[in-house]
Amino acid sequence: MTSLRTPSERLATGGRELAAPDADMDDARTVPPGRRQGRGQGRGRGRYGRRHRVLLYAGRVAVGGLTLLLWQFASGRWVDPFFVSSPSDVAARLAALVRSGELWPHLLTTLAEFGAGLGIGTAGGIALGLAIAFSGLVGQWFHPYVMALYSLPRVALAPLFIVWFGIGLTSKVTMVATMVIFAVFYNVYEGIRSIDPDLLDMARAHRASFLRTLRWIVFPALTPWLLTALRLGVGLALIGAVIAELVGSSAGLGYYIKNSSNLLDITGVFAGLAVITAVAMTFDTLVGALSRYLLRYR
Amino acid sequence: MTAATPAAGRTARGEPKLSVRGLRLEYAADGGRTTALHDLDLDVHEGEFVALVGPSGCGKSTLLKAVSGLVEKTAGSVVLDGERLEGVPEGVGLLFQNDALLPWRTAEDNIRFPLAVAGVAQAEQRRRIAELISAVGLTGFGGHYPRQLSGGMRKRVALARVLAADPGVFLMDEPFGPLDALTRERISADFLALWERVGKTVLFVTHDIDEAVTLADRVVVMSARPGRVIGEYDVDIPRPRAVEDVRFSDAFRRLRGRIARALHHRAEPTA
Repeated sequence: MTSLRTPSERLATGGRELAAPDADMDDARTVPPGRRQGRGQGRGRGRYGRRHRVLLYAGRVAVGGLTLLLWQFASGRWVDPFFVSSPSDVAARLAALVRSGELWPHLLTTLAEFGAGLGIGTAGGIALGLAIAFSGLVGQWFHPYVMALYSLPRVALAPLFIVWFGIGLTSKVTMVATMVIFAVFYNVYEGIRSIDPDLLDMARAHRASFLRTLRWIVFPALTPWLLTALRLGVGLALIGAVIAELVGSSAGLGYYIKNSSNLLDITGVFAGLAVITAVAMTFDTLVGALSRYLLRYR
Repeated sequence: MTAATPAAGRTARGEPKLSVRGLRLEYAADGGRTTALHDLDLDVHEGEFVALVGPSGCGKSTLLKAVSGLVEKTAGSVVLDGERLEGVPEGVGLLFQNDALLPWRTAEDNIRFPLAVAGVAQAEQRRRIAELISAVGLTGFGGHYPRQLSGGMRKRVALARVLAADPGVFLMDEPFGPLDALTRERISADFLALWERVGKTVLFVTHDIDEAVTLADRVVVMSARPGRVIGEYDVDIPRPRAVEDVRFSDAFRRLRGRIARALHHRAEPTA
């Protein structure tokens, strides 16, 4: 309801918004995705307790283990291992990559692209979201173009960035930032629009400065939205980094996968994929832990 | 405070604390212009408790928002302590219909907000917060988040926050509306006792005639949209009042009947 205000609902005089008189008491406002998730997890912990957790994690491990077993069994019996490799071969390759130290430069390269791009994209997305949400009419001039860029498949820009910035770190970081910035912008923008207008009115009625309003109201209200954006951003950043490496690079996990693929070394491809998956899961878990800490007031 | 007729007391007090003259408020809606308030005049005197009653959507809440500078006036003026108000004034405290508490801050930190805005020193903040928490009956709940508090307790936090800003005029927008009857009676009684002690100027919006007569010195009746004043009634019930007993007195019943008739006969929409 609060996010659906149209310009016609604004006061004719001065463009300030007129909150509906005798507004209903309903608390069911636009709920950011992070909030629903957070609540569900909180309830689950309380209701089911320890026995439920044991069953949950035992089941998860079983699903993963059985899948690997099936893969191992199928490889060489039902399917030519040349095409699908096998879990034991992939594990052996990973061990070899760690022992020889060949893994680290690739992993660090990708992590550097991922980290720098995610940081720049997140900061840029927050700045863009705040600017467009709080600049009134001027922001509305830019809004459709930002949304147009958002819907562009940005993966298609990777070759362009290679041409502009070469095959080094810059093109990868640019790619990652481009992937992340719009997801963050969109969440920040929607998050600001969904802030309870009474809270902003409360701050205004107390004559709070813009900076204090940001610190006490806007950023705390945005926290669940930013955490959602960060969760999406982790996935998008890895996609951006690996795609850019596939298009043109001399190091990184994407480069290792592409190189292995060129050599028809399927075990190498799967080893690269396994490392990327591990990185994604690690960061997703970290963001999850951060969410639970920051949203403990719920 | 004596039980003398408030009308006589008012003239003796001279200039009103808060004076609204010819206030008009229009806004664009559905292609046309809607008038929320039409040439509204209202005076509130120092230390007076004025209740504003009217049908839903008559612009009562909008009036409070206009006085506190949250919506812009189309025409007319609001004068506080002899000074014409522009923008968001100092010295006016607004208690919102739904608490407007920050869910990510504890009760204490919610009460801290106006103190932090005013730049009060940390030690002084802590002292004032402890004082306010005990004044509104929340001792032991300062560290709780709003989610962990009942509706009535959240109201008390919101009330303490307005008290922390120490405004000269309290604007209260159906503050006890969403509470259940029992909680509402208890918090009204506590608020009344608090007010009878500090004696601040209050403009209290409600659609509940009983509540208006129970609490106020004077009841102002507004018409349906566009809102304007259609009647004023002095409440000659002595203070201190006991919220749970007042409504059984003859004076209460007579006044209640007169206000109800005024509302029902004259507040119908003219459309």
